Amino acid sequence: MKNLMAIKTVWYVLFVFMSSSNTLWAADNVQPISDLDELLETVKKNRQQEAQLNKQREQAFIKQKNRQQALLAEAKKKFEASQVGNNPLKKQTAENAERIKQAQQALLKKKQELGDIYSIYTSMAGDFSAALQDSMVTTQKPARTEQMNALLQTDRLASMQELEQLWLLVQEEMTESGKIARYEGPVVTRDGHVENRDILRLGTFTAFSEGDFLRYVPETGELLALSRQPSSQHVREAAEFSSSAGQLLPVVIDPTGGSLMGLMTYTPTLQERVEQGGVIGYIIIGLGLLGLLITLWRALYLAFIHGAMRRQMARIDQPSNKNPLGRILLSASAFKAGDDKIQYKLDEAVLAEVSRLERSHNLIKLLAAISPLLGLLGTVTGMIVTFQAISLFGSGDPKLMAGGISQALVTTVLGLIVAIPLLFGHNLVSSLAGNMVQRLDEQSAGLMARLMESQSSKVD
Amino acid sequence: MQAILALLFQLMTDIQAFIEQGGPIIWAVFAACLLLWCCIVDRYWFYKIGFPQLAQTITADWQARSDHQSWRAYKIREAIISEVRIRLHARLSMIKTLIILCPLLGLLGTVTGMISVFEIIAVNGTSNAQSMAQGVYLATIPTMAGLVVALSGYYFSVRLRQIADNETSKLADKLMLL
Repeated sequence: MKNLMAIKTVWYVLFVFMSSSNTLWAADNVQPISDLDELLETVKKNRQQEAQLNKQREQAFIKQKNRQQALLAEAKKKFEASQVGNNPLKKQTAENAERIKQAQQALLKKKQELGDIYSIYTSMAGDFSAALQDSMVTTQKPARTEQMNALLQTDRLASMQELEQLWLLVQEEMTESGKIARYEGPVVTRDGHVENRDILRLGTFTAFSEGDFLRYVPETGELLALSRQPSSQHVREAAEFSSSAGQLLPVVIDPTGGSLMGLMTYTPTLQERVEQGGVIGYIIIGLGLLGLLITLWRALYLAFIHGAMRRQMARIDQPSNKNPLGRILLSASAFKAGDDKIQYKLDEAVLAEVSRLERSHNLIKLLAAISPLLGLLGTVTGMIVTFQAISLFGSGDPKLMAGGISQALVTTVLGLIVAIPLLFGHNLVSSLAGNMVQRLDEQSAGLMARLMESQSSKVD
Repeated sequence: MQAILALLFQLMTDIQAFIEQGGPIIWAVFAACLLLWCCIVDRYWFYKIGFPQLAQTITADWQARSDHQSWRAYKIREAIISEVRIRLHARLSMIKTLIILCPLLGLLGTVTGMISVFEIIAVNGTSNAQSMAQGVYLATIPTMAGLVVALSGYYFSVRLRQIADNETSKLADKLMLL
């Protein structure tokens, strides 16, 4: 308990010390406090002073507040005044924004229209430059290509001038394509030289130079003399046309602009076709010629004999040994009618004649039968060549196979071409000979009999 | 009248188009066809109109003979029959040959058409079926025409031979040997 009392005392002392030190700070210049009453006095005095001070501050605050309020009112007044000036401006801003929007839309539309024109221009120019490249007129006016390229290479929107240039070029092409023009220009001749020659151009279709048909090669823009000219009649017509002055003359043009003429150089001539047949083709042709010669010989021979027999029949009583009928009649003339031996003699004589009349007929038939077989042989060898080509190069390029195939087909054609006339000729020859043999065989005896009859009636 | 003319004109243009599509071989087939039918018509004409008269005169001549029995009469009869047989059988072998020839001509057309197809392939490659079709026409139309001509003539070639044989033996029967 004593301890607790002691602590309380200490606390108290401490508290007093503290509060005195507080007052000491508040009034620095105040004399040091000696006792508690004085302290109380001092505190009271301080409080009075503080209250007074607070009042003063309060007043200052209120004063300040009033001033602020006045300032606010003033500012509000100013704001309202400025607002009055501001409103029309705001309205104008909104209006301007609207106008900007409209103007932007109009610009967009205009841009689209112009873009359409530009895209049409570029596509037209592209198409037309291809057409120019393909047109024969370019050889007459080579400067056009550069002009066209310049028109094509613009990045900006096309200007009015460029549009007009394109238009003029198109119009020029149209006009030129309807003209027959004569000019001098480079021509690639058949042996590969480039020569300056007089060129006659018919529209965009065909060009001649000194009687040669020319072909236009769009890739290089050159005129080529065709390595194989059309038939001589067309060439002659072309030459006449070139040398004429404004008359109406027939002439051949190639409406495809030279590609048909170009294809023509690929079509083989008759000679080349025959060469395609190879060895077998030549064998077939040789056999065919042989067969035709034999047929011709037999036909002429039989026609001659036929005439001779006709004449012999008219003069049956004077048999000559220069025709079969006469020879047969002569051989039997020694015998009398009714004799058995006369029939034998006649048969023998006819047999001798038959072999003479029907000579080589079987050969013709053989040749007619062999030639299609040879054609078949050519077909098979051609197929072998084709399959060899396939095994070497694959079937990708049909042009590599064409050689074998054309050999196969050409030999077949040759075989048939030989076989058909030979069959026909054999029929002709053998029917002629057959009729004659039949006449000799069955009618010589009858003629003899008639002769004998007329002789015996004369005797009577 | 006008309708018939129009029909004829239509027919002409059709034939022309057919020939143009078939190429030059069609002309050969056409010629063979014409020859074949001329022969056939000629034969029928002869069998129906020419031959009966001929047969009558021949029989009358034979009847007029006094001698119908001797070796001479026998030989003369044989000669007459043989002459008649030749006249009746004339051109029949031509008809037969033409019937063999027509399919061959058609085959020729096939092969020439194939050649033109391969030519087109050699130039254009196999991509253009339209241009190849022209060659195929060239190949198939003569073949068809050749076969049609041959088939149309086939019956007549057999029938005419029969008629000729029959007429020959009928005449032989009429020329009696007593």
